[in-house]
Amino acid sequence: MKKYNLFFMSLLLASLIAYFTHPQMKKIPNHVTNKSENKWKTFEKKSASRIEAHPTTETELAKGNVTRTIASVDKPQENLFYLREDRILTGENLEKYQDESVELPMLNKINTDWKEALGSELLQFQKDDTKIIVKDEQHIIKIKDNQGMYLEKVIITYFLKNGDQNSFHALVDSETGSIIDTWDRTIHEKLFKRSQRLEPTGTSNIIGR
Amino acid sequence: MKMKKLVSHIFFLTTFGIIFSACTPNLGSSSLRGSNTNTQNISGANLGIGQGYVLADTPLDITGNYLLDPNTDLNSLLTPATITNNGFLTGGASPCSGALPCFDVLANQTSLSALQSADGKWAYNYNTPEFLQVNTFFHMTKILDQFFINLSNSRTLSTQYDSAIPLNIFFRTIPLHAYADCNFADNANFDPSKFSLCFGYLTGNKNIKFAQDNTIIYHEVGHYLQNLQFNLRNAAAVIKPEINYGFYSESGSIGEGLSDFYSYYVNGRPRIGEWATGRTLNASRPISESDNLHASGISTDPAQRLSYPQFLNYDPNNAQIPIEDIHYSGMIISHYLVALSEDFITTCGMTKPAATAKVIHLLSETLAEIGDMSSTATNAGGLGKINLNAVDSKDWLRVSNPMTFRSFAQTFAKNLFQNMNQLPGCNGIAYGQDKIETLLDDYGLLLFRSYNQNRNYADPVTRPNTLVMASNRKKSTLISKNLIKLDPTPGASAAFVIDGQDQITNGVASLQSLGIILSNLSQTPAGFPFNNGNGRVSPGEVVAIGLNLYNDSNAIMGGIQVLANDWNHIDPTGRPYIFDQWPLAAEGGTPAPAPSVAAAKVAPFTIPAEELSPVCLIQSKALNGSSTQWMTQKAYRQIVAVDQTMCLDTANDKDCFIRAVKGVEQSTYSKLAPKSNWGQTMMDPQTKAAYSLSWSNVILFQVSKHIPPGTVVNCRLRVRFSNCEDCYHDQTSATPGGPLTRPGYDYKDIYYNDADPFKIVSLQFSVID
Repeated sequence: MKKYNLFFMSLLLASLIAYFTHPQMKKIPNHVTNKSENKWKTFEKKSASRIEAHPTTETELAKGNVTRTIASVDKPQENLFYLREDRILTGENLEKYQDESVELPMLNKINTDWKEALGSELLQFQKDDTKIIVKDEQHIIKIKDNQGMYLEKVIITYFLKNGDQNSFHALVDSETGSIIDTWDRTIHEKLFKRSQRLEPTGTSNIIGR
Repeated sequence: MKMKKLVSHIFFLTTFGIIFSACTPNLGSSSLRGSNTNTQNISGANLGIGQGYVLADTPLDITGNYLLDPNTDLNSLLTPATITNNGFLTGGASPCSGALPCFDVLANQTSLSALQSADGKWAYNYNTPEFLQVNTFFHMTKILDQFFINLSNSRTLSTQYDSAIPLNIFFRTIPLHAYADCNFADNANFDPSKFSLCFGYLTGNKNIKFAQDNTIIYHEVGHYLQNLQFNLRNAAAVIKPEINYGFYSESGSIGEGLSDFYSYYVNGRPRIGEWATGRTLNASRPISESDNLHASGISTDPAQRLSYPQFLNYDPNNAQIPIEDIHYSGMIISHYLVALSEDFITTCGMTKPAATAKVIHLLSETLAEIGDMSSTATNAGGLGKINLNAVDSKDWLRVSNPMTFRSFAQTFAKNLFQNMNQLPGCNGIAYGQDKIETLLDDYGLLLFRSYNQNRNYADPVTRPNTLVMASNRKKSTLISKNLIKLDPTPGASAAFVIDGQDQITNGVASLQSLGIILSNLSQTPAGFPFNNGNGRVSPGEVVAIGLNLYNDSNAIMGGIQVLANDWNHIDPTGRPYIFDQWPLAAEGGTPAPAPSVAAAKVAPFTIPAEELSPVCLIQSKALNGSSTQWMTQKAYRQIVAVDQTMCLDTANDKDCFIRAVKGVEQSTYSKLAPKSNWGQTMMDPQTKAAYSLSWSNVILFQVSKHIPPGTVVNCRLRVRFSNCEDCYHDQTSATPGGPLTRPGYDYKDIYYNDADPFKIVSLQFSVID
């Protein structure tokens, strides 16, 4: 029996070596598997009053095709973006405000729990067992009318109970976790989709002009 | 003890199994799968290194048999082709640095790596996941190689004039991933946020996979290429523009039409989806009037082209039944582009590849310009030339001035004029304005009065603005905005209300999961307990409202858009401007500024916060108790002493009591037949069955539970349509009644925050508990 165990141990060791030396795996940057960075978070609606959150697991990443976005983190590139407080500037007068000695009044603060607030917002109206993954991409400051707003650029992936998956980029308020804007939404060709039909429940008390 | 050992062994075996299966490269297998078990196995014996077997076209087109049994052994149709000498199915630049695009193909989302060849060859049976990957890779390589050579040529060409194509193009630093055997039923998709393509299967016949159909591959890659073209000028933009595929929209229609054209661009055939969607579902689409799938009466004869807006709801597979679907409305664009390619061949003596490459160049120019988030439009452009300004550009393109058949056709025509008329783009042969306009008019797309080369505001002396020759506008009809109205038929409803719990619950969940809703609705409890389904607007509800619009003209209206976004209809003191004699001065109204005020504005454009007001006003006694007035919600909040923390948006009391939900603050209708409302337009002509509303036809309002029952609300919405005579063209005069200051010019972008380009439609109702 000891020989048996030794054989399997050897196989396991060989498997581990093969796993970590596989050329494709080597291409995955370190920060992806570095969970301490906590770039991904999963939220799941268990019931109307209960939303659970946990760091996204490897299985969830794979299912959501999120592992494949690892290199897509659009790192601030100094030749492309203006930066302030290590955040990308967007909006007006960017050149002026990249100089941190120029005062920029901020409309909001950074709340360390913005992601939890976002998770609640995204699941509030969803059915039980709906799951989402939120992935941080970039930290942003948007400037308008000489005022700044802290924002987070994220990728949100919905896993609906019926098996559908939808993803999109979003800008999120760093204080409230509210969605400010979205883009890059999944383009589905889905046959038979005929978008949900609506039956009016009434017309009577509206006067038009 | 034995049990313990057994458990130990099972543990080791399981661990080994998991790890081994996870770490082994995707080497492929020859295992058969699918319903056909009589497959003749494919061998790679006759292949060279780097070669494999593919379906060179759809099975129907290879055999010429459009009734081919869906369960046919497709191995007999495979042909050898060069795939790649790479060990893996990876293509494009290596490494994937951002200097050039790159891509790879995997089985599905859980695959760890691109398919690896064990012997340098790519021979697999047609019904294996490996074949799907090889076939996808082959056709992706084909279209991407062709496109990026064209784009490189476009960059060279664009140095000869003020182009929208930048000299330095940044590609994403990650591969475009294609999943050839996705576990998605009846679906293929492009996910721009993950930068991936997925090809699924048919539930009705699992033997049919989307990745077996090259035209579907080209179509999906076409969505990726459009995304790239739309963002050519947005390398430094944090927020990217997108074509709206979430709802019925003209931009989504154009996008689907362009994707269909990409199939023609590669294979030159006038149909898409013959195998994957056509064989068993009757859902393939023609790309040219020459295709016999079309109904009778449609041909390449100029009088029988697929023209706008007549054919917006036409499905050739079921021609009698109108359908509001972007895939079918987009056929007008795909057919126009094919007709243009063929005209290049005929007139300029181009080869088909050269002709379609020229069209792709024009598309790159057009999409790069329309999608520009910096507001400069072209390389020599200044701020404010398109999409208002760099801060508001995303919203401008999304709601205030989205891509429509009109704006697309106008910008495309400008680039056509620039490339084919002003440059020797037609092999030295004159390709005149008359020719450009005649073909556009055959498709009903000559919807503009000028080519807008100076983008609305530049000095017309130094940069002329070419006017369209009015005599060329024969099929393209322009209609006055005043002829769209709420249905005037006695007894007809002004609007339809959807406030049932189930419909709103399902709808909001769906819209939210698609990333469409941009307002935080957290003031409304989950489950929408205030929604009572009484067909009226009640406190605490989230309610969808669809207008009952009517076309009072004798021509078809296309691309109707209803806007409920914030706009400039309140003066800086909070008094509503009077439009169409409402509200009276005695009711709180104040005269609206003359159009010349907006006309005098020059770029760079900015919109002060006080010029953005929510659409809904409230009727109440004024604070001094004098008369009943129409007032802003902010003013009303002070009268009823509701704390701001109880507003729908606690940070903003401008729409404290009722607001249009951002993201669902516009509705669209494909078209309105003459003297008809939308219901009559879309009715099944045989059964007379009504065509029910969808989420693209309604605007979503959130109502505060703190609004007092009985409160009277008036929401001022703005309506326009794409073939509108006075919704886009600036007819203002420097002096009242005097000559037009900017004849034939388009409105400046800033106008779309005002009333002039729109028909104003008011909805008035009491909030009833």
